[in-house]
Amino acid sequence: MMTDQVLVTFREGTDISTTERILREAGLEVLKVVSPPNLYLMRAGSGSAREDAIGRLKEYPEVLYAERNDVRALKGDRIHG
Amino acid sequence: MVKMCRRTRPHAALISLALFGVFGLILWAAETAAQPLPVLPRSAYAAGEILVKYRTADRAAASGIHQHRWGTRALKFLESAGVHRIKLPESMSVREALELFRQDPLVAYAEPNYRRYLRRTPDDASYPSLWGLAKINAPGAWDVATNCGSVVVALIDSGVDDLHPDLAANIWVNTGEIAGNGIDDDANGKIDDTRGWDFVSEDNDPMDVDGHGTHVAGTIGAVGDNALGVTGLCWGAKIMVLQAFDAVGNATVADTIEAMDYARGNGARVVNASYTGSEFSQAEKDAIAQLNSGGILLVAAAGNEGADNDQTPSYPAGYNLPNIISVAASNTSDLLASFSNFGLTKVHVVAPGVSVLSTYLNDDYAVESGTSMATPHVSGLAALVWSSNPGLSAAQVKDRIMDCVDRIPSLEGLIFTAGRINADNSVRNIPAPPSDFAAAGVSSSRIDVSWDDNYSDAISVKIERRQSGGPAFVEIATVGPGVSVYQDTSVQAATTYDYRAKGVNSDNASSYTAEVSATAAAPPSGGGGGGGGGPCFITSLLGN
Repeated sequence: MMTDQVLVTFREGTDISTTERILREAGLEVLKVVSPPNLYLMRAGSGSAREDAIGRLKEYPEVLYAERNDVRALKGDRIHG
Repeated sequence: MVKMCRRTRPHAALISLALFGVFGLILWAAETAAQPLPVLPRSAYAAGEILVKYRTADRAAASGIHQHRWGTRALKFLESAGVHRIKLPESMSVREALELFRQDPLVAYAEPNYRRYLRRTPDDASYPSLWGLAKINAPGAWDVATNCGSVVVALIDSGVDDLHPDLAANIWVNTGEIAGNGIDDDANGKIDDTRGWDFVSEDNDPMDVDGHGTHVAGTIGAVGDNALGVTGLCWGAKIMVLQAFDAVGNATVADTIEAMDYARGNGARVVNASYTGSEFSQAEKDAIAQLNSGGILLVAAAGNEGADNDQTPSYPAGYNLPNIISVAASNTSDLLASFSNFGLTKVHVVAPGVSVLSTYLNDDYAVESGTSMATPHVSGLAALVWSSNPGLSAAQVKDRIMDCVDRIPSLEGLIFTAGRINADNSVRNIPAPPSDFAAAGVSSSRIDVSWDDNYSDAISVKIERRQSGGPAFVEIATVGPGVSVYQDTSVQAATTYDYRAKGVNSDNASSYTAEVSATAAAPPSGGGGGGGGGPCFITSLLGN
């Protein structure tokens, strides 16, 4: 299962103004800073829009990696009470 | 007058021993024939010693004979029972000692020095239904420790019904926060996070929205011995509730990373991750690596797709990080659950995960199945091991749990340790014997002995050998960590040997493996041309 969200990690030492510029240029909605100071959650649209956004972000040398914000699911099934 | 030489008189004790031997012969034959040797798990009796009752009043002489003959040593005489506590030499197992002593006419009986437990089985009403805790010998572990409160276990799940009467007392409380004042008192980025956090709604009430988290929490630490409901591995616990999953049991990697960061920043030492996904995430892996840097274990479910995780990994269980323990599910017969994922390299242990009774929403209880249910058995065990051995590192706790499993033959080739967790052995640091122990003749001068390389660096393997049909095993080698083959080159051609081995750590030795046999090949056939010796005949020079 996929979301319309992207996780972006900036390299250690990337200053905040550079981070903000890249996020602005990427044109993505910043949802939150997941793990300060470098891991951001962005809304990027679904399908090809998300993959295109990931591709654009990866072109920045300051970006360590960009990836889909994937789903995790619980692994238990109730039998009876 | 001829001086009569003073004849040397045999020791009086030996004479009496001989007489007792004769009279006792009839009696002991009848008695010993009726006593089959016990087949018991090694945790049922103390290793390295037995109890012996002698027929003779001169017990010292009798034990002295045995000491001379077998290297045993009388430790203590237990007067009320009239038995000696006998210490065995390192090379002698309890079973071997019983075989020897019971055949001796000086001995009335010999038996293992069985363990007796305070048997702190809890009085929780539904305890008899908790088959998983009995299967992993939690009662034995509870003789050592029941309260894991010194080790905070973070539960990244659907929340917990923290008002449940069988859980409320074991929910972690953030003492750095003053409840309800609207201030982030401890400056951890969350306001009034007194009982964990809801990362879905971003509020301070991680009340369970699904039931899954409440069920998992109960296996870790439902209040034990309160005459109510169920108990967890930990009768007392500190469960940090981190709600990252929504009402349909889904979360994103970002949600779980936030929860991990919170766990790391607020004192958790174990993180329970009863969830999976099929996609690799570098961000998730990095977050777990940060947990490792903080000395924190992550216990992760292997997944419920019946798949081989070595072929199609599940995450986070499948990351190659030293602080992850990946858990599959077993059933009441110690078989891999039909739904459970497995993986010879990527899945470390199994734990009970079929029809597990635990706490549920609205003060209720429910039965669930899944690797989600197996995982908290290991999280709770990690907390129990760590609380009773606080000096261990996270890596050492993981090693203990993996080294001290019960080997299950049906798990060989499917699970790294081929083992189901054993709580008692983990807490006491009693290792499992080497798995898949085998021997094969290679040549007339070599037999190779092998076993699976699934121990941590804490374990050495002692190998013993005897000529088939011979009297006693003799230790021939101690092999260091990371080795899984021993080349025995001290064999004779065309000779069959029996081998056995045990795992040894700094505290204890395992029981022996089953014995295996192998035969060195026959010597190469001699003759044929060349070589010296023998007469030399000159044949006809005419070319016949």
